[in-house]
Amino acid sequence: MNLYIKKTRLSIRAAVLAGFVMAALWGLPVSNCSIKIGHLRLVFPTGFVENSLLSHGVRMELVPGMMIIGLLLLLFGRFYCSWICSASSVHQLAEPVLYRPIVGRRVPWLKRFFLTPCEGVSKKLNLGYGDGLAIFLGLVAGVALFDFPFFTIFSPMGLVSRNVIELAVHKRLRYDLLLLAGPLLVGLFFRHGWKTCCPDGLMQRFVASWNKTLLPEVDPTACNGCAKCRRTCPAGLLAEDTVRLAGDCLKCLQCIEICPNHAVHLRLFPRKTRTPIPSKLSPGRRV
Amino acid sequence: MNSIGLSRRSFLRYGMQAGAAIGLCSGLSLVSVASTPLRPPGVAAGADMAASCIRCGNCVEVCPARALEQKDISLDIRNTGTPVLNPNRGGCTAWKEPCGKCAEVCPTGALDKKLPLESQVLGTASIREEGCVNCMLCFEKCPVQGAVLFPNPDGPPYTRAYDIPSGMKMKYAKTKPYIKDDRCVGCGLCAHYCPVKVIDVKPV
Repeated sequence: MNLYIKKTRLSIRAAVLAGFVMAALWGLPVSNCSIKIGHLRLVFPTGFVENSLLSHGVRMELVPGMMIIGLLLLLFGRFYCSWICSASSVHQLAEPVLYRPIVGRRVPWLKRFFLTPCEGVSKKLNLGYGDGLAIFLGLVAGVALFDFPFFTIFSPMGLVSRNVIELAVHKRLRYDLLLLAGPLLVGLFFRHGWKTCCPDGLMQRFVASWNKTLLPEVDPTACNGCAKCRRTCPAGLLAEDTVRLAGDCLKCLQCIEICPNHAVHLRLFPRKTRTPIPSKLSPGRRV
Repeated sequence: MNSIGLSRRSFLRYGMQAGAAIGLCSGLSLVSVASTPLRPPGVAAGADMAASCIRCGNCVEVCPARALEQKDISLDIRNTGTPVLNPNRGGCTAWKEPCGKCAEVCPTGALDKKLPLESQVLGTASIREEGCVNCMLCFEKCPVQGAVLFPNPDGPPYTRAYDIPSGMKMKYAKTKPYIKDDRCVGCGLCAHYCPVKVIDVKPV
């Protein structure tokens, strides 16, 4: 079954970016970090938290939008991360460039002095969601203590969005696009890349862990335990684990596409299943 | 510690990471140099824009004059991404015709649309006399009556360009227009249209 899920996701995200360019050209109040429809204001959860911390109070006009974001997360999980977020598409595009052996063969010095050390350090550090959470909470404390708006300045989504707007409105790029290298580099050292350390993804993960709908379900009679789903999963999950760890599932649907036995299906109300795991498969680290 | 499933080793590791994050924030806020850029209308006097703005860029998108831009990285790291009025790109037209679009789309209320325009002053413009060519464009573009004046040796200063005797507004004439500080609202229109760029707008 070839669904071209990866390409579809990339093109949808590219279309979203193009949509923001058009919105900026037409002067519509729509950027990727904040959308205003009527009286409804949708902003990133991180932006909401930071704004509340810095202005010492909650902006009531943002609360309805936050509730709607929470509801979407409960119903659909973290679909935003793999279907809309332009920062993750930047990362998805950068990943093969950085990791594919082609680059290593063509640019040996890059492999020798950058990629191999990076990989070594990331293997040694073995950073996961726990470390991401610790850094996130430290940053929240720093924002509250020093009144420094860290998240909105360095958020990769904000950086992409600001540059898209500037490109559409003033036909130039901003120097702070260079700051985007920071989050991308940080993502390199995490086990599952930027997905594990994105502060917004971590906040969404809290709410999405109660998500019980529209998750992949494994047919235990068809599954032979090849664990191809875990290899393709951006969060490193087996397809059977997504029901238990719904907060980690990015709803990218790659497990459905890659399963050679068509054992994974998207279900509205999936049941927890146990698949026979052969002994040759080493047990994956459960996050 | 063990009750929440954390070993001492991982507790230390998480603690160090959180400490490093706090240190990063404190370091950046210490390095940051405070400055007062020219803001769009809707910012209350003395308000901390860096705290209330979430840097979404909606105001930049909707500005009909395309005068706004998000502050690029500078020594003032705290204000990176907040909206600033750049007279090189355009001037605020709110005093010419009712606008207020930037404040309307602001999601956090950092730009307050309830703030009346009459009570606001963005900055003060000043003309450097040495480069001025007396083109009188600042006279024409100024939205405020009596903010740009032309000295009159025998009487009150001229407020309209066509009242001025043509001999006085020659290119190399000694008399040049000047801006009255207490009338100027700092919209930046004169600075934007000035062909020789001798007008500076100083934020309040």
